[in-house]
Amino acid sequence: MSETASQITDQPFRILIADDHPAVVEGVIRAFEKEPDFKVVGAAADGAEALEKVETLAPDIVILDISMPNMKGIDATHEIKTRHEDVRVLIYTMYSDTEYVTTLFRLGVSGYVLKRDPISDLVQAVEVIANGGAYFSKVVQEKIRSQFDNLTLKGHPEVREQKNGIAKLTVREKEVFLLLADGLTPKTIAKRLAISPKTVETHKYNIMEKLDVATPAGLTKIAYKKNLLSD
Amino acid sequence: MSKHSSDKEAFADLRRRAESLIREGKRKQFDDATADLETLLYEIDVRHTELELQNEELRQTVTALEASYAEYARLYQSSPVGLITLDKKGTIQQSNPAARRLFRQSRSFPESSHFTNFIHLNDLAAWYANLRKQIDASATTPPQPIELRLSEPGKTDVHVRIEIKPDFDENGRFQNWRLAMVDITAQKEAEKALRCAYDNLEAKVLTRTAELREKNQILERFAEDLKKERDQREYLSKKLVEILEKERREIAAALHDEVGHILTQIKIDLDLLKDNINAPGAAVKSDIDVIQGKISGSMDYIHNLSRSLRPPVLDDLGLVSALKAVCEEINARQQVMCQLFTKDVPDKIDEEKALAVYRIVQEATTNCLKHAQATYLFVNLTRRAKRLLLTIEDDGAGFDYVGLTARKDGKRKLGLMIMKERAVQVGGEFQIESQAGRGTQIVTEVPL
Repeated sequence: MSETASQITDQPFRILIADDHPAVVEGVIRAFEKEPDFKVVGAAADGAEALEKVETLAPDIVILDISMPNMKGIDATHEIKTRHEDVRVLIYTMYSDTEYVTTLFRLGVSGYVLKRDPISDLVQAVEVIANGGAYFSKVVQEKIRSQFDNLTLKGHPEVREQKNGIAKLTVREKEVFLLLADGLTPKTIAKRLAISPKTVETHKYNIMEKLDVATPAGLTKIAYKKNLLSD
Repeated sequence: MSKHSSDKEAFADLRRRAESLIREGKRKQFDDATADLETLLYEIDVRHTELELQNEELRQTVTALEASYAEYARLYQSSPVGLITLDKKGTIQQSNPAARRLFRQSRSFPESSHFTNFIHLNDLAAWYANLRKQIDASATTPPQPIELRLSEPGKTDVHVRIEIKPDFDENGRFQNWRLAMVDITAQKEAEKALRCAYDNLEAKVLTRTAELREKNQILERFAEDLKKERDQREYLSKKLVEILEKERREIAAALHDEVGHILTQIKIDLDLLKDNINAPGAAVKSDIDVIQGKISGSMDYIHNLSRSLRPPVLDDLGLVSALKAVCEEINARQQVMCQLFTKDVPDKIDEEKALAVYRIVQEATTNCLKHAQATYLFVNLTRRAKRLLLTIEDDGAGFDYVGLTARKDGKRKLGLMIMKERAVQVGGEFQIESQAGRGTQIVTEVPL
């Protein structure tokens, strides 16, 4: 609270709150009323309005809900960050799904606070961000970390397998792959595996997509390379 | 004939006259040796003349006979009708060229050729029957023609129509058989061709009838399928209404029992807090903590409820993210290993279609967790031309799909039907294959 960026210019840190629930908007305004360094300069009930007010009110930070009518919070974030790179975005939401967290993290939000957390967390988050930092609720932090673990797959036995396209194949696709590589027709394969030719065709298509080959001959080549065919 | 009879009479008259003349003359000759020599010479001359006359008549008769015979022979030889004479034993005695042509004999028949040697084996019985009939029949009955095949090894059969007539002498004794025959091969061929055409037609009619019957059966099956489909739809719509009502009941119960309950508790807590506002700060703070805890719990509850009703991720982040969330949730349970593969899935997908795919994945994965005892669960979502291709596969216990769908009722059957219905509703196709011990595979295609 002592050395916020805005204090340097003696101007309060400008906050725009965007949420379609009036109660939330009211709560946030009240939470910042007692804080002289922060000022809620406006409120928006949906993403489109938020974007508009970013233009007119020039806030330093937008506290943004995800689920809103008109323009979703994610699209709004994307728009704000593209048009006004320096405007910070703080997500204030009920949702902590990994998908939200990672998507918004990638879009460059500065913070992510859950509505179930105490309102003081929100105030603290704005403070941290105003000082040039980033603030993510504990649950959100865990999600981000696990996602990074997944991306690097450190020490996982599956790591090497994932690079090899064959590991992407399902059990049935592997069976079909070997038979295709062996030169069998989808019809014969269907008969042998007691599944419909259409299903085999679907498998074949997926296999070629997963292994990035354009022809059945390409499949044979890969199978040979991996020593999967008994001559 | 009249000339003949008059000749005969004239001859008799001549004879009479000559004899009487001789009688008289002889007497004269012997009685009177000195009879007039001139008269005697005259007599001889007359006789001589008579003989010459007679001779001339005979010569004429012979000529007429010869002419008649030649005419007969000419007719016999040149007749277009084959003519054959057989003796009692059936040996060919006489034949005309027409007959020989029919029998393909260049000259006359070999010595003692037997007629039956030329008849097709299968026609022999008919031949003998006809002979018997001809013998029994009275002479006045016209001959009954018979049709036979003349056969010779290595050659095509010749069809003939034969009229047979027995020949008797003056004493009524059987002499021989007279046969008249004509070639009817061409006619028979035509008949055969006609019969062939008819048979062909018959065969075609039969084939066509069979085809029609088959088509009819297909149609019947189709109608049956339609009926089954309609029954299923009726069942489904009835069940859907039930489900809708059940869900409403459950939501109402959730709102009332859970949320309403907690809100009531919070209200009571706040009432107590209000009365207790002057208590020491620490006590008030702890009361507030309790209230906040309850509120947070309530928020989570509502959040989960709303999320289960309608996944916000699907609306906010799209299908792929929503499916990732589903798989992540499954993996978090550590019951099966769920692997998602997506490729080329467009960012913007029609909301209804995305929802259909999402719900199918939800239902299928739920089924897998509940029933399959699988180790792996694979979800593939790819794009193939203008279609979304969804496959869901597990390596679990599988189930008897036919048996399950044949059942009248059942939650699981309903689940399958709803999955299919969701695909159909957005113009897609849904296919499920499962065998006991071979896992379950779902293939769904949805047009983009």
